[in-house]
Amino acid sequence: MDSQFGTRRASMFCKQNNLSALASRPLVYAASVTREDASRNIAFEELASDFQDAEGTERFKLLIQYAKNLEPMSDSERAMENRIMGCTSQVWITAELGADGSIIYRGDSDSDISKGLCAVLIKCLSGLTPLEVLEVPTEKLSLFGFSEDAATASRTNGFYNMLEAMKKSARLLTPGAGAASVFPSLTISADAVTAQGDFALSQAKFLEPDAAAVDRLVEALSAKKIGVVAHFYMDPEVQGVLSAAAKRWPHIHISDSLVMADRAVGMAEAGYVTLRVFHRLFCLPSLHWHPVRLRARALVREAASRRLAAKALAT
Amino acid sequence: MNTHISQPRLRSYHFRTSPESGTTFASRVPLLTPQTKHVSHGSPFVVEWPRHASRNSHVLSVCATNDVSIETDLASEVRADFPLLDQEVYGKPLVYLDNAATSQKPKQVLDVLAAYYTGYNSNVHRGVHNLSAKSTTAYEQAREQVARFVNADSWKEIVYTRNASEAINLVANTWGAENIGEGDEIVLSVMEHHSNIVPWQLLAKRTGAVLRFVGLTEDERLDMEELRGLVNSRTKLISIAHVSNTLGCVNPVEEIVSLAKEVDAKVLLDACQSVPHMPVDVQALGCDWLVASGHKMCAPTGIGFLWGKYELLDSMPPWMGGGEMIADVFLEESTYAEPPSRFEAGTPAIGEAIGLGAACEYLSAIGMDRVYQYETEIGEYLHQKLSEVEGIRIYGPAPDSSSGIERAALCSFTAEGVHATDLATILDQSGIAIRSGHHCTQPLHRHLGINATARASLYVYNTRAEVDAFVEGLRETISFFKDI
Repeated sequence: MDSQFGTRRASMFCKQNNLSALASRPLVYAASVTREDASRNIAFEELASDFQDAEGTERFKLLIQYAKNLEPMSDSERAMENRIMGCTSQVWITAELGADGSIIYRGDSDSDISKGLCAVLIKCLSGLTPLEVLEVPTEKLSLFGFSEDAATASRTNGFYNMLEAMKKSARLLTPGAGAASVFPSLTISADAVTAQGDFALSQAKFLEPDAAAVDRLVEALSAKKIGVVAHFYMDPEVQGVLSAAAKRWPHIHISDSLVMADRAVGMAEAGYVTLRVFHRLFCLPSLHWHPVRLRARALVREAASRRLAAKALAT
Repeated sequence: MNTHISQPRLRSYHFRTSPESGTTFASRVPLLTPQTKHVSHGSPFVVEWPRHASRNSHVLSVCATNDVSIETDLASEVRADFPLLDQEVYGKPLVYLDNAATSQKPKQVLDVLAAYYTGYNSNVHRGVHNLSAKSTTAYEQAREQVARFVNADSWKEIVYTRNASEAINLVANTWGAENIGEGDEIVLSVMEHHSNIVPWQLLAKRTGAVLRFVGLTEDERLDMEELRGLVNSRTKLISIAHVSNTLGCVNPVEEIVSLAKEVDAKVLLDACQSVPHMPVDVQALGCDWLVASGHKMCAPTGIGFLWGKYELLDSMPPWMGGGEMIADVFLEESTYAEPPSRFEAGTPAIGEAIGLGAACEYLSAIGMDRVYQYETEIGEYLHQKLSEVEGIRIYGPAPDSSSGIERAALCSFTAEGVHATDLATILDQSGIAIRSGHHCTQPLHRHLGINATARASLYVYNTRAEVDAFVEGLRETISFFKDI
């Protein structure tokens, strides 16, 4: 799953979608780090109480002490893809998933105060699971009392931007967000169809739909003499069932809208009184489908009236 | 070209003399004209003569030196005019040293702005009713005040814009679009503000023009020798700052203009940091366009201007289209107004423009020579005091009157071992407001090999005592970081 191809694609995905953090770093499973090893996360309130007790510049002194205790990053880690934009100083943050599923954050800055803010956030967020990080409200930032607008989303609010960046990393590290790490694909061979990547996996399961649902559909269609035309862009769940049913009831057609129209007219001419049309609203072909649908409806009515007439004649 | 000028003609003059500075200038009072039948004399919109606080009305703490000259009193004189300065930040008196970013506004300008909105707010050029005529007259009167402030030939040469950035974009998208082609060269410098780089980058991308950048000398001034080498027959434009907002150096405009004339190139002058602080005379400077922002010169935000030689403005096609800038509008096409209306689409920032005029009058009443003299002195004082702090590195040339090296009253600097932003954050705790970052001159910082600088920038209301407070605070801040 962590193939090099997948990682490169993932970084393109991240870059295209403006996910600057981790854009070119593979997701690392640091097997040696346990939840106990990583510094236990400290609640915001607990850490903030130290700052609230301090006055004026003492608050910043405390912050800088936190900064001094933060392990500096290597030059390679202080790279563009780890940089947090929106700070007047340079700030870098990385995130890794520990073996126990909690995040380990690291950070650095060329400004002592920014480094201190980084350290505070790392103390409060490292050791939480990705989902727990995502639930942290930005209002927590105001607890420290650094500025009146600490919780304001602003281009230049470094503290806020650091928290946002850490949340973005958490999003990428959320289990199931593995779609970012592997490009979804279906491999079709003579013997089997193999899917990889979450999206492909979820689509592939519709190739074998629920047999009971297919039985019910075939029964209903044949009993009521209903023909079905459906578009390629329908939900895969619907297509899966229809494709399976089509092996037993021949009047099911899945195609593009032009062919759908032709098949519908054919079915109407063959006497099918009810037509069910499964179509996607966004498909422009509805422009040329409409007159065809009208014609099909007209043919169905015509066929119905011919049958009635024949019945009348017979009696 | 069809013309359409709807501004009323102003005819009569009152000459007034400033009791403080002795400067005499003309202030116009509107007369009745066919277009302005409804204007009455003595209307509240006529700008009242700015009154300065008396010399003794507001005395700050004692100056650190005994070197008190007449000019040193200027800040004490005008300070009471600026109500915002009288406040505390975290329990300490505010020391505002971020004037290169924006200036504070005197009561005189604030009153004019309030008078507009409470008394005669009305759309300009469009109505014949009383209020509309009043606002039109005040708006156009302000244009004349701005024209006088820079010694333009006529009010027609002043185009109101939102700010200097918009003014530069205006030139790039009109004259630039028509006259700059593939392979043509635009000469800029590494010290330019982003607003005097990015519009030309956008133009170059569209037209295939080439941008050339003049570097710095060893003492961090504009390298005139390099400029001489860069200018050639393909040069169409030199766009340059008059005064650098980071280095504080004053560039030799007349010399640059004569270089440009040799190759028939035009010169655009970014005067954002000069117009507020020294007398600026477009006739003497000889540039083709000049841009400035109102908010850096005691005027409200949202207003600035482009000055251009009339014939040049007249040759420029419109940029923003809409109401006001037209003569006649048909369904398929329109004809356009003469400058400056041609470049002023839509409803302008009327009150703010009137405020800009009032700011020009306020500064003229002090006398720009006097402003310049004061700033030279206090700028030198700042530079000297800052140089005495250990571990501080100031960027830009040291002022040296003997060799004619001028320097604006601002200093960008770094401190050894302390990030500029950290300095500014701790200084803020003492009520001292300076700026940190790249000051919209990222290329300059890269050229100097630094990430960020801190900058203290002064204006007419900053006193020596404030400079002392800043330097003292800076020393304390540096110790703060050393002691942790």
